[in-house]
Order: sequence, then C-alpha cells, then structure tokens
Amino acid sequence: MTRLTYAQALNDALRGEMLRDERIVLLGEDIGVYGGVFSVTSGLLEQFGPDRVLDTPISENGIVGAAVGMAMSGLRPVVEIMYTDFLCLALDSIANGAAVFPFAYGGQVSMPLVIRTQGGAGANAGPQHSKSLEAWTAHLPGVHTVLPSNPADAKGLLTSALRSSEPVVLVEHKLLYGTEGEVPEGEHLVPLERAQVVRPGRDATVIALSRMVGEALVAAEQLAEQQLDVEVIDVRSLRPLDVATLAASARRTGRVVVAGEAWVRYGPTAEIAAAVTEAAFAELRAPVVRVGSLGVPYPASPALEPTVLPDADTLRRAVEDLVKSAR
Amino acid sequence: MTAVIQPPAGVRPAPAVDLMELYRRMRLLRCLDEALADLVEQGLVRGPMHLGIGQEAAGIGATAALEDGDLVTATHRPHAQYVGLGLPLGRTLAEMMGRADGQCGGRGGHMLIADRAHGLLGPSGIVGHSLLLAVGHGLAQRRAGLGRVTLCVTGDGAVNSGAFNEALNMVALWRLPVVVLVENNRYGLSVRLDRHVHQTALHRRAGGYGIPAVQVDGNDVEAVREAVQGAVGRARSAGGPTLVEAVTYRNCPFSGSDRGGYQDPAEAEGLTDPLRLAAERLLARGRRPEELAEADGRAAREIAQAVAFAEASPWPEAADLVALAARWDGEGGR
Repeated sequence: MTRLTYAQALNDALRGEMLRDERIVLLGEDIGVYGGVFSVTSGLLEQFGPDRVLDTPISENGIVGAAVGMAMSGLRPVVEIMYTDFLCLALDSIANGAAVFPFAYGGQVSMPLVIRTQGGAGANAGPQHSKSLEAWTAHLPGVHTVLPSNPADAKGLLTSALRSSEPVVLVEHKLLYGTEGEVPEGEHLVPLERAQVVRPGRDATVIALSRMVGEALVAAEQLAEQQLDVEVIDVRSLRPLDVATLAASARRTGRVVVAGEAWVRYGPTAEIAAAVTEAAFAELRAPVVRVGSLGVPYPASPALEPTVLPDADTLRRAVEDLVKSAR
Repeated sequence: MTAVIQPPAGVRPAPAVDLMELYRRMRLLRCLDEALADLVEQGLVRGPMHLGIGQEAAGIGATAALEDGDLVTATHRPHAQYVGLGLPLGRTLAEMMGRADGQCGGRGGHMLIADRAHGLLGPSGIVGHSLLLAVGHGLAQRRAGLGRVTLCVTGDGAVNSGAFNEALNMVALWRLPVVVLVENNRYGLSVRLDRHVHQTALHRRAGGYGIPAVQVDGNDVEAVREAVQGAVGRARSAGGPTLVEAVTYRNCPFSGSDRGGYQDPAEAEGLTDPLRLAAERLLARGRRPEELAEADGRAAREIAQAVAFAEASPWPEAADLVALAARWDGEGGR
C-alpha cells in the first residue's frame, strides 16, 4: 500500500498500463504538455512521447469519434473529456458510434475505448461545469459507466477499464482529485460490475454514488450516535448494475436511501430505486427514498449552491425520516 | 474541371484495373441498386434505403485506387464501396434483407455493413461519422508505419457538419494518411447545394485547413480514379491528407421515403450518365458492343444470383440478443 491522491492513483493506473500495453494511446485537451487540467496525465508525455499522449484541438466529438476509429483499428484509446458537461458535445460519437459499431458490425470490431471525464458540483463552477450526467451514458446498452469514490477504486477501476474490450466511461469527481487514500502498489484491478459494502449496518442502507459515498459515511457516523446502524454501499458501476449486492442489503435492512449528485428525475437514483424495489419489494419496510440535487441548474454563487447539492446532513435527515416512516 | 493543385511526383501506381473492369463494377452497382429498388417495392428490404444511381463513378473510381491493407470509411449511401471493394454481394444483400448470412447477421442493415477482410471499417448512417472514424484509422496507420491509407468517403451534406471541421483540422494537423472524397451529388436530401452552402466549390474548403485539394468530374470514373490515386500516393508517402471533390448527381430518390418534387428535371437532362460515358469511351477505344452487352448480362446474372442467395438465407436467431443483454446486464437485461 502507498498513500496517493485520487489524481495520483489515476496517473499510476495510466502509467502502469501504458508500460504494459503499447496499444494504449491517450488523447484529450491539455493532457500533454500541461499534464491535464486536473494533473491526472502529469509526466506521461515526457515518459511515453507524443505518439502516445496527444494534445488535441478543442473538438470533443472529433476526439471521441477519432478514438472510436482507433479502437476499431486495434489501438486502445483513452480520451479525457475535461468536464462531463463537455461530454454533451461527444454524445453522438458515444451513442451512435462506440455503442453501436461492435453490435451493428456483427462483432467484427471490438471497442476497447476508455473515456475519462469528471463531473459533480461543490466547486462553485456554475451551470456548465458542475453537472452529473452519468445517467446519459449508463442508458446505453453495451457501455460501462463507472464512478470511483476513492483513490484505490480510481486506480482499480481505471486499470480494469484499460483491459476491457468494451467501451467504459469513467466518471471522476472534481472534488475528489485531491483526496488521499491507501492504494495498492503494482497491479490493482477492481471489477467493472461490482458494488462494494463500505460500511456494514443493520438498520438502513444508503446506496451511494461517487462523492456521496463519503458524505454517506459521515452521515452514518452521526446516525450511529442515535443508535442507528447504517450500511453504506458504494455503487461503483452504474452499468452493469450490481443488483444482487444492493438487493441483499435492502432485504437485510428493509430501509433504503439512494444517494447521488445527479438530479432525481430520470436520474441514476431512479434506476437504482426501481431495481432494488423490483428485487426486494417484499422485505422493504418503506418506499425507497432518493436523494439528489434540486431540480434546477447548478448556480455559481457559493450562497446558492449548497441549497441544490445534497450532503451528509441531507442524507442523515433522509435516513431519520425513513426510519420514522417505516413500518 | 480544373485541378487546384498538381499531384506530386513519386506516387505509387494503383493496381491495374482497366476501364472495362471499372465499367463492369459500375454496371454491377447499377444492377444492385435497381434490384434493391424492386426489393424495397416488394417489402423484402425494409427501412431507409439510399441508392446511388447516377453516382457510380465516384465510389467505384475511388476504391479502384486502393491497395490491400488500406481502409475505407463510408456514408449512409455506401453501396459503391460495397461493390468497389469486392464484398460478396450475396451476403451483402442478405444483410440488407436482415438475414443470418449477412456480414453483420442482420444487425446492421444496408447502411452499416462492415467487412474487415475487405478493408471496410466502415459505413455509418450518421452524417459526418466517416470523417471522424478516418481520423482514428489514420492515427493507427501512421503509428503502424506500414504505409497504409484510409479513404474517407463523405458527401456535400457532411461538409456543413461540425465533424467535417474537426476531422479536417485533425488530419491536417497530424498529417494523417487520409484521403477525403467528397461525393458532391448536389443535394442534401431535398436541399440543393447552393441553398445549403455559400461556397459551392467544396474543394476550396481544404485551403482553409492547409491541405491540397482537387475537383474532378465525378461522373468520369477514370478521372476520379486518377485524382484519388494521386491523393493516395501522397498519403502513402507520408505527404499527408488530400481532399478530392467528385461532382456528380443523384439520379434517384434520396431514400425510399423521398416524395420528390425538388429536383429540376432540366438538371438531369444535361447529365452525363457515368456508365454511358464509360461505354462510349470503351467503344471509341475499340471495344465491341457485344463485349459491353456481355458485361451487362454478367452483372445482371451476378445480382440475380446474389438476390436468390439472400432470399434463401434464414432469419437470424433472436435468442442471441437475449443472451447479449444478459451478458451486459445480468437478469435486469430487459
């Protein structure tokens, strides 16, 4: 084990896999000379050269579309899209390209494409730099969408993504890049389809995504003072969704809160709530509760953003209310 | 039409395909599209269908300039690439009919037939995709250093997409071995060229990206081949990308749903049909009419056999899709 930040752990995964597999090529805006706006690709241009680390023009759809071609041609492209919000510009190449060609071409091509992007609010970055849009790619059959919540998973999920033959969207969180944690040295793989129980508990389950995992752990500590024993599960992979792990917890506790930063309506928490309800309805003691951002665009002002974004307090109150209302 | 730049010296010769062979390929393509019009009418081919009647020379001429190992990306109107690259047409028709023997097992349909063995990776029904895929192929080919080239087929409609700008800049910036063939059929569905783009000499766009360009008569199969040959030679010798604009005309509906009424009949009257032009040239060079009739008959028979093969092909197994969903999503794969 070694202590790394989330950004360093991602860098470690890229470096390790690039040494192992010459087919890996990175491309994105500001990832070369500058080392990435969030320093994730720092030092990689110097180590691997300009054929494997490409600074690209500001052409999101073009970069992802080119990467789709590279993947079909036998390379393993890794695209950095600086903000999830900018991924909107590349949705054509994902939804009509990466998600389609391996299927439509009858399996003649594989799609070992990794798209790294980062989302989330809390940095007062305003409505075009704060969104959580992971549901958009998670909606696409054949596309993996994974969200690491800590440095070890950042390394492990990215490493697994770099060995997958299917497209993977890795959604990082801007507020997590500087957080530190213990990370296994050398090869470290985290499966792309497994949720993880990060805190066992008996009275209620909080199923959380990305940065909300940390907030859920804080809430769980506060609730422990009220003699409420809360289980926290890190979803890690939105698709495929590890329904078995989530439903097993729901059956044990009978009370479930699903927490993510994305807007609630038609968001990832809706899908998770539906899947858990379908699988564990008989054992649920109350309807599954969803926690997410208020249904407005993210405001820039530090005075306004906290009203939109859920945090540990929101989660604590949600669990308290759920326990009160449950049969 | 005038060449904006002269092809550089040092171009490798294209494979020896004579005009007779080019004519044979164009006739095969014409027969294929005519058969498809009937198959659509009979309901044996369903969904959108984009025929290329009148545009045969552009696609056939361009693919004839390629060598083994090169790659092609194509548009929603890709039949010229299917024929020009020598795809087995029985399987290709089976794919268009949604049958099991299609190259893609009936999953792709007429717009999405890839054939890796023939270098077709691939067509796409989204305008602009062929340009983006070509950037990726070009990057992979440049890295491999084997002198392979990508022919990117696109159209006059795509030049107004963001993908065109993004791709042209990238192929120029990275000097990729890509030849961009703009098949200018003078209509974006129903909208005539001069009503959807101000600079109708599309090859002039290339100057803004700092890459060479040439405009050719897209109905003259030899002219197209020569222009693409020059561009392919430059790309192969690390000279970077070229844009070739082939000016042609779509002498058939945009697709099966086309209600018509937007093309001026006078436009079509003044047209040179690419097959007639090639036939006249062959006769002028001493070929006998019977040789052309023989080629026409052979093409018709070949397509009839391909149609029969496709019609006899079984439907694909839907259980494969259920298994795929289960692999991706487990029991929730509904």
